[in-house]
Amino acid sequence: MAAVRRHAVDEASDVEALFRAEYRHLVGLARLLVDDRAAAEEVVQDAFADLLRRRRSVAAPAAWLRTAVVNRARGRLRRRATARRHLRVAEPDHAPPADADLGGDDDRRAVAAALRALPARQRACLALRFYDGLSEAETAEVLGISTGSVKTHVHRGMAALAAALEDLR
Amino acid sequence: MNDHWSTEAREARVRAALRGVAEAGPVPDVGGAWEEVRRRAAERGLRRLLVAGAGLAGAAALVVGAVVLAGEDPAEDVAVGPAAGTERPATTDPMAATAPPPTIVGVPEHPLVVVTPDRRALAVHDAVTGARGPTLLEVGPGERIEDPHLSAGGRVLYTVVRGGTATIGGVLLDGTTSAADPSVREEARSPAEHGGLVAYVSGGQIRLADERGEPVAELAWPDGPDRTLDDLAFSPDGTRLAFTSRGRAYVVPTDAASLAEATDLGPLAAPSWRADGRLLALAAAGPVLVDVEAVEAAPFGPLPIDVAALATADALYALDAGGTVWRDDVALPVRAAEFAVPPPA
Repeated sequence: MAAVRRHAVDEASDVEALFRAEYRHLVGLARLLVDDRAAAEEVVQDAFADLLRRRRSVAAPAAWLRTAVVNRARGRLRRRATARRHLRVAEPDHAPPADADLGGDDDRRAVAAALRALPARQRACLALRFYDGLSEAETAEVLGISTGSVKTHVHRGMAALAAALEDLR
Repeated sequence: MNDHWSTEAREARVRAALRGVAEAGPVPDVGGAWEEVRRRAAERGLRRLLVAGAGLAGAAALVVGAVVLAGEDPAEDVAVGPAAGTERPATTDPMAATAPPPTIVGVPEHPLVVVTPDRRALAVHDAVTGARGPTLLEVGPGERIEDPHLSAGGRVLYTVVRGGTATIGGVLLDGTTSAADPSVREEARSPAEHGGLVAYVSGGQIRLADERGEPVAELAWPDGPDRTLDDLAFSPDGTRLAFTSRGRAYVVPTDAASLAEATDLGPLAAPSWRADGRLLALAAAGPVLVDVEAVEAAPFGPLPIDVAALATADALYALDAGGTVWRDDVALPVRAAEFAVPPPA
């Protein structure tokens, strides 16, 4: 029994070390996928809470966490995962409460709005590639899609985001 | 566009822009957040062990619990929709400014069952006027209601999630419970009902039970449990069941031996049957109408809103991304996290 307890303690401290090293960065990653900072923190905390319970069955915790964060963020937005064209038409009447955490920084708000207008996969690909710094192969693995799909999503997402950034110049 | 930017310069600009959004605001309190993680893990672990180990004693219960925990993917939480705290503040809600205070009515002729935006109550509204009818259920702090389903017999089935553990329940439209409410003893969610047959998701399988919750059949994928099964919906004639799994929608005969007999309809969410036997569903680019026999989807709409969920009964109902319920092209003074209408006649 003592050995079992000891093992459990080690697992918790493993996860805690990972948490201390990765929490801020993963909150940043999640923030790119959801509408505000509080939701991003909750997504990452939930992912770590699951990891803490399943440590033994998770072979590659860093990749597992990223998949969990992306899936949980998508779960939150699932009910609004739809036609962005329609959203733009409806926006004057249905402005979401997003980005309150960005304060009055108009450039950041514009980037966040442009990100939000992207399909979820494109957004996730851009966040993993260019914020998280993953390779195309690593991004593909986290998202459970092919490297070719990652290339396509990144290309389209970059074009859309670059166009939005161009407007800011 | 942007041809005058080199790829490198463009990537650098995108990196900087993403970092600006990702890292805006105060630095997170890592110590406090870790305490929160431990609290959440303990709460979920305990609940799961209790459920998985029900009826078993001591070590056996722990073993079963461990198996349940170990077999899971990093799949999304059973939670769906906007989380508490991300709802629009009431003061900036145009509906809140213009909607009259709700008038409480009896059970309406055209019932619309909604999970309130905070997911703490299940309420009936009049689908024509939006007037508020009876409140069917209220849950406590730390609990939330999901997956409302309204059967032809006027029974409302729902999922209650507490600390990551889901159970299903039933209540009649007038707020009373009947003797035949499902008393499923295992973890279960996403209930649907047709003609006395209840379907729900449990243990990574679809289970079919009689209206008292006695198991009748199980439908599983040949390669094992699937924690992403969701959105169950019986066809109007009750012979088929639509469901979603890993981002795709499927239809399977209710008398199938396993989900190997399911027809893959493509990357779709939130399937809902129409009286003509076709399925309404949400594709990435918007709502589609699916011919289940031909496995062909045609764009549906365009609707003047960002649709988050669709259903048909006596009219076309939609939930928009802001949480407002629409009946055809009229916005009702009703806000919801999810909704249910009676099955099409």
